[in-house]
Amino acid sequence: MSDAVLELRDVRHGFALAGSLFGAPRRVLTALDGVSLRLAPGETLGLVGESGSGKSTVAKILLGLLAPSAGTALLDGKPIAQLARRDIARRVQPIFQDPYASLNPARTIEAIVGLALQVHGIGATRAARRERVAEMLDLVGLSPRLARAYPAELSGGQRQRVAIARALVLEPAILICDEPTSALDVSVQAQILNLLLDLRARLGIAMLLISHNLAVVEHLASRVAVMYLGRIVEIAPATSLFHAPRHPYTRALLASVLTPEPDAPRSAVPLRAGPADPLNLPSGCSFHPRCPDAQPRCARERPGLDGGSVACHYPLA
Amino acid sequence: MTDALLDIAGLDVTIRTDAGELHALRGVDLRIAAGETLGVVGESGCGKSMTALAIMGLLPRRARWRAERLSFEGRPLPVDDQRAMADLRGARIAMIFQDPMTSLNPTLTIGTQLVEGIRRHDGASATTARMRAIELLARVGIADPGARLGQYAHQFSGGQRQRVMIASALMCRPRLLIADEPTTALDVTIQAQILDLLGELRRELGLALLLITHDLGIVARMADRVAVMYAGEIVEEAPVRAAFTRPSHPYTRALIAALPIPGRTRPGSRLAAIAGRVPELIGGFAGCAFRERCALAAEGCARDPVPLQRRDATHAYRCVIAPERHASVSA
Repeated sequence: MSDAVLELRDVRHGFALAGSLFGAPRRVLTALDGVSLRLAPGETLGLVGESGSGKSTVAKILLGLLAPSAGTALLDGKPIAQLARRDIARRVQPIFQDPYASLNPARTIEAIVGLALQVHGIGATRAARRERVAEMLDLVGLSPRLARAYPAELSGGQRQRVAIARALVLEPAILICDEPTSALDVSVQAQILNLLLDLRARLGIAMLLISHNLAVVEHLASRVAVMYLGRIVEIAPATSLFHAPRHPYTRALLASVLTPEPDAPRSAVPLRAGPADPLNLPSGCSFHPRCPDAQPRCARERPGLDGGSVACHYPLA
Repeated sequence: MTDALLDIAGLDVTIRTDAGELHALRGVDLRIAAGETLGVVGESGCGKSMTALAIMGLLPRRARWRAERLSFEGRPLPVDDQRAMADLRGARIAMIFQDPMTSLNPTLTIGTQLVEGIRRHDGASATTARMRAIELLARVGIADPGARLGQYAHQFSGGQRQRVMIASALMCRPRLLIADEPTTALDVTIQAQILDLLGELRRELGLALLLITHDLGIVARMADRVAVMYAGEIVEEAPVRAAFTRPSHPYTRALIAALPIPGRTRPGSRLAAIAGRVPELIGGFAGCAFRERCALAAEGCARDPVPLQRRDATHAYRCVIAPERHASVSA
C-alpha cells in the first residue's frame, strides 16, 4: 500500500497546557491518539466528528504545519518532517472555512493568487504570471475584471473562489478542505460544492474533506472516517457508512442530521451525558459514557480498529 | 386573528449609512399565536435578525422604523420607550442568541445572572429566586444545579451554556421566546438535544417561539409555520409542510433545491445553485428583489412592489407567476 499520496501511521499528538501558578501539574490535551489513514491519488476522503475530535489537528499535520508528537506522516511515501516547506506546498494546499480571514485585505486578488507563483519562481515574467492568474480565475468561475479588486469588494462565495484559485495555482495533487462551506449561505454553498466537483473531475485532484456537515460529506466523499476524541472510530466507503453505520457514535451523528423534509421520521438521538473532556479521557472506549449500548467491558478495554472498519466491542449489525 | 400574541403589520426599517438609506426591512407582516412556533428563515442579510431586534426595541441607533401595527398581547409595543421595553424584555419577551459565551457575563456567577431578572421584574425574594433558578436548571438538564449556581460561564460546556441561557430566559415565565440561531455554534448531537429541549419546554409552558435560523432542517423539525425572508421582505409564509412540499415562491424552491439531502440527492451530482448574489439594499428599487437570480423572471417582475398572493387561507407568497407554472419552467 505504498501508492497513497498522504498517509498517517499511528500518529499521536498532545498539546501541553501551562501548569498553574500554584504548582498544579502541567496537563496534556490529547488531540490525536493513534490515528492511521491513507489518501489515494484522486480520492476524496471525508473526515467527520464534533469539536475537539482532532479533525483540524489532522489537517495541520498533513499540511506540515504541525509535527506529530509520535508516529509518522507521509507525503508520497516520504516523511513530511524531512521535506522542505516549499516541496510540501507544491503538493498539498489548504482551503479554510473563513474566506474573510484567510485573504490579505491589503492585496488585490491578482496579487493574492499570484503570490505563490512568485515565491516558487514560476512564470519568468510578470506578464506570464498575470496570464496564469487569469487562467486560474477563469477556472474557478471568477470574472477577469476581479483581478484588480480587493477582498472587501467581493461576496463570501467569490472570496472562497479566490481561496480555491490560490490553492490550485501551484497545481497541487492534494487539497485539504477544512469546513470549506461552513461560513457560506446555502445558495453559495451549492456553487462551491459544484466547483469542487468540477475541479476534481477535471484535475483528478485528491481531497481530504473535513466537515461537521454530513450531507456535504455524503455528497462529495467516496470514503469517510469518523473521529471521536482523537481516534478514528469508524472508516468505511461512504455508501456503507451512511446506509449501515456500525459504530453507535456514527449512528448518533446520522440521526442528528436535519433535512428540509417535514415528514421525515424523527429518530431520537440515543446519547447519554454531554461531550467528554479531552483533558481527562474516559477509560476503555472513549465513547462509552455517552454510548446507549455500552457494556461493562467498554469501560475496561479500549477497542481498536485493528485493520477493520469499526472500533467497537459490540458493533451494530 | 385577534388572538395573536405578537402582531406586526407593514414593518419598515431603514438604516442611515454613508452610502445612503439601507432598506433593512420592507413591509414585514408577522403574527404569532400563543404557544405557536414560527420559523423565520433566510440567508445572511435578509433581515431575520433585524426583525427580532425591532420586536425587542434593540434596533441600532442609526435605524428608523415605521409600522402599521406592532403589538404584543394586544397592546402596542413601546419600542421607543427604553424603560417600558426594559420591563417587557426578559419578563414577557425573552431572547436567546447563537453564542451563549458572549451573552453570559463571564465575571458573574450563573446564579447571580439567573436571579437578576426575576428579582428586578417580579420583586421576588432572594430565596424564592434561588429556588426557581435551581428548579429551572434541573429542568433544562443541568446536573447538581444547586452547586452549579456558584460557577462561572467558562466552567460550562457550549451545550450546557445554551441550557443555562434557556433557563435564564424562562425565569420570569415569558410568553414569547425569540431564539436567534440558538444551535448554530453547537455540535450536531448537542444541537439535537437542545432542539428537543426547546420543543418540550414550549409544549409544557405554552410558550410561543420565534425561531430565527438559516437552517431549513431546523425549521422542518421545530416550526408550525415558516416565513421565508429575502432582501428584507417576507417572500413566502405557510404552514411548514405546505412550504416544503409545495413551495410557491421561486426563492423557497431554489433554497430547498440547493441543499444536498442525504438519501435523496445523488452523491456527486450537480446541485442547483442559485446564480448571482443578493441585491444591494441601499437606495430605491422597484419590483421583485429576487428577479435577477430567478429562472422564471419575466417582464412584469421589474414593475411595482409585488403584492402578496394567497394560495389558500394559510399559504401566502410574493410572486407574480402562478406556482402551477414553476415546475414546468424550472424542470
